[in-house]
Amino acid sequence: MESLSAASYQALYLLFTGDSALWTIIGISFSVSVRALLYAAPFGILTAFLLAYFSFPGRRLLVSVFNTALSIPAVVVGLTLYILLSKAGPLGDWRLLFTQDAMILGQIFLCFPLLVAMAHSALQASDRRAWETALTLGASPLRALLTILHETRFGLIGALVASFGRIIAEVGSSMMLGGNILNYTRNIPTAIALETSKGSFAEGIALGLVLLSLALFLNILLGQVQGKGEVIQ
Amino acid sequence: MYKKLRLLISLCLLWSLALAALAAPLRMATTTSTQNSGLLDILLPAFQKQTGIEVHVIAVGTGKALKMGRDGDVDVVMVHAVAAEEKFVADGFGTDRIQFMYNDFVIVGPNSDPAAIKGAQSVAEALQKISTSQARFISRGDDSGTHKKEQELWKAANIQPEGSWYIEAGQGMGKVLQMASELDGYSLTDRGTWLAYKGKVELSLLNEGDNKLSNPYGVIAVNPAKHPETNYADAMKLIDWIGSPTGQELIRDYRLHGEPLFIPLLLK
Amino acid sequence: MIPDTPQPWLKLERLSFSRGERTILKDISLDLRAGELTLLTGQNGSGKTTLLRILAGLLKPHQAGFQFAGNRRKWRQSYRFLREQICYLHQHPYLFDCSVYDNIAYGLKRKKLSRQVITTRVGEALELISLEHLAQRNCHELSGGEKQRVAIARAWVLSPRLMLLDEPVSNLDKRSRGICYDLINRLQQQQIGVIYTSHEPQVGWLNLSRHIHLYGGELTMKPLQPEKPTVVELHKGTTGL
Repeated sequence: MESLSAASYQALYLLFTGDSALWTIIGISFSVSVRALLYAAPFGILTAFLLAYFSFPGRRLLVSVFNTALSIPAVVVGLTLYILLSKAGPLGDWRLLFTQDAMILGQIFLCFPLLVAMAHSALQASDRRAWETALTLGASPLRALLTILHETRFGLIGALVASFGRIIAEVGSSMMLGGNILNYTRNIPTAIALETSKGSFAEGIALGLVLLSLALFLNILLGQVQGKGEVIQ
Repeated sequence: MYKKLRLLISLCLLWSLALAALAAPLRMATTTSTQNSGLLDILLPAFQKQTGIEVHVIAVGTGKALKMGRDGDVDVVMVHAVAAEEKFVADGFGTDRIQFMYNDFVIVGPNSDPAAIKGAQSVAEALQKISTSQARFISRGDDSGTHKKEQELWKAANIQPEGSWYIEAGQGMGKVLQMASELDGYSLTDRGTWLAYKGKVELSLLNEGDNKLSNPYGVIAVNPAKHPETNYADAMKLIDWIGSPTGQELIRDYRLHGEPLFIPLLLK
Repeated sequence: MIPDTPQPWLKLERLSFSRGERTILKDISLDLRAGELTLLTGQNGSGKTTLLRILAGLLKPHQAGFQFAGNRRKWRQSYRFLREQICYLHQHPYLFDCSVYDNIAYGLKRKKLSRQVITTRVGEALELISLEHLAQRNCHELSGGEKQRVAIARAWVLSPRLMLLDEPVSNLDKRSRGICYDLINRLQQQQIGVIYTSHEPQVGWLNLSRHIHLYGGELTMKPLQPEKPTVVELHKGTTGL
């Protein structure tokens, strides 16, 4: 049996010699997931803010909906969008299936509930007096919102980091919606799935290492940010 | 109270031990296309009925299936990639290989057939037309038996497929057919998967019959000299049974969507 | 009416507020004049804070009439004006997570003043509260009394007509209380009105203009300590006082 250490050694070799196929895949992964997060973040945070700061009919229901949506498997999101975007589906004319845009769409739907749920709990724990203080000092509601976001930035960054972690490592919907096309929609998770099915474990491990170090980096970053938050409060 | 609990736990342990001892099924790695064809659902129950041996099927890509054999994770391998099979045996990982049946590959594509490959005399001519018209072609791109076959065919036609029209999907056959349908592309597929997907995709069968498109299947036991812990005895029973008239007739009579799919090679 | 009292800049009429089934404020009327220092007393839960939040334009009353310099306005037209003219300070003031300087400058920046004007105004405010040396300190490092002073300065730089102080000294030590009282008296001298709530009527250090009391959702006027001058205008429903 090919030893794990040999595969890992070869993986490191591939990574550090700048194997172009490997780095293309890494680049696609980041560009897709960063764009998905950039699209999702403003709406997600705004939704979380509305849920945390205003009471309106159906608010509780919406919160439960987002909390439930946390546990929807990625493949279900992928399948639903697949049916919508497929030629025979209602949005088939957009011709989005098997493009990066479709992957981005899938990842937006995947990270949105997590983003809302985490940002909501951060904003809910925030001080309502901050909102009133901003308003009474003459801030417009929009400016007051920005002030609240600044006051809760540690919690919000945590929500963003966790959301990014969820979508960068997600395989189900990327595979279905992107199609794992070489140099176009093949990202780290789908490439790992492919390399594993081919039995070439070194490439799989190399990509796994990238994800692992990314997770480590994000967690350290998160720890730093939240640690700083605690000291100040 | 504690006595009862202890009794219960030992009973549970005994039960699971008994189960483990009884169920030592034969592990077989095969390709997804073999499993998708539905043939195994006919063959294996018949085999179990005659011999009492249960077969656990692990359906993966050809490369992974052979790797599982090399690593001794399975007892027997059933694939369709002649060159890789021969290498597997030559390297000493497999033994007692038989080629027991074949089916064929076909080229499918959009109903409109933009590259006009329908009526091409050979598969080489069809591929030539696709590449010169730059019509989309969806490749498996996953090192599977079908992917290897496709690469052989391009090579035989003296074409280096590259460019934006050549899409390497890196997915299973069924997914690739769906992609071809969505993207209006051509693809090479085994006939079994094609028959299973025919009604669900907007594609037509456009080229078939060239003897380069033949797709022979092999079954190989994992060499007990390399991996003594594998179930070689039962693996041989399976191989012998598949080559026997009983197994071969089942293969001959198998129908998918009313059409014969496999042609047995060992039926006298 | 006392003849030479100035016209009220804001008249509040028949204000009511209830939460669920419970009526918190019933038909309250109140006149507000420049430079008035009003003591508002009442037990915990009597609705003092609710009244202040409505006045600050932060909470929508169920029913109310507003008259700005004689012009009647609905709530929808009023609340922006209230937010502009009136500053509400929480019992425990909330300071933003930034420096003392940036906290005081917050409202000025919203007015889109030039950087130079802002620097000058913040400098004046820091001088008013004698905290020039802490300008660049993060607000989380301040003591309770210092926080209260920063909050007052942050409102003061905006030159509001009225500041609403919700029990500003309840959790301060004696020395900090003294500084706060002093500050509040100086606000009054600058013609900034103040409504000051407390659950105890004894606030000897403040130069009060009037004392109102909230009980059972209704406002009543209370006599001030004898030696203090009284400038009182107060309505209670239709009966008047």
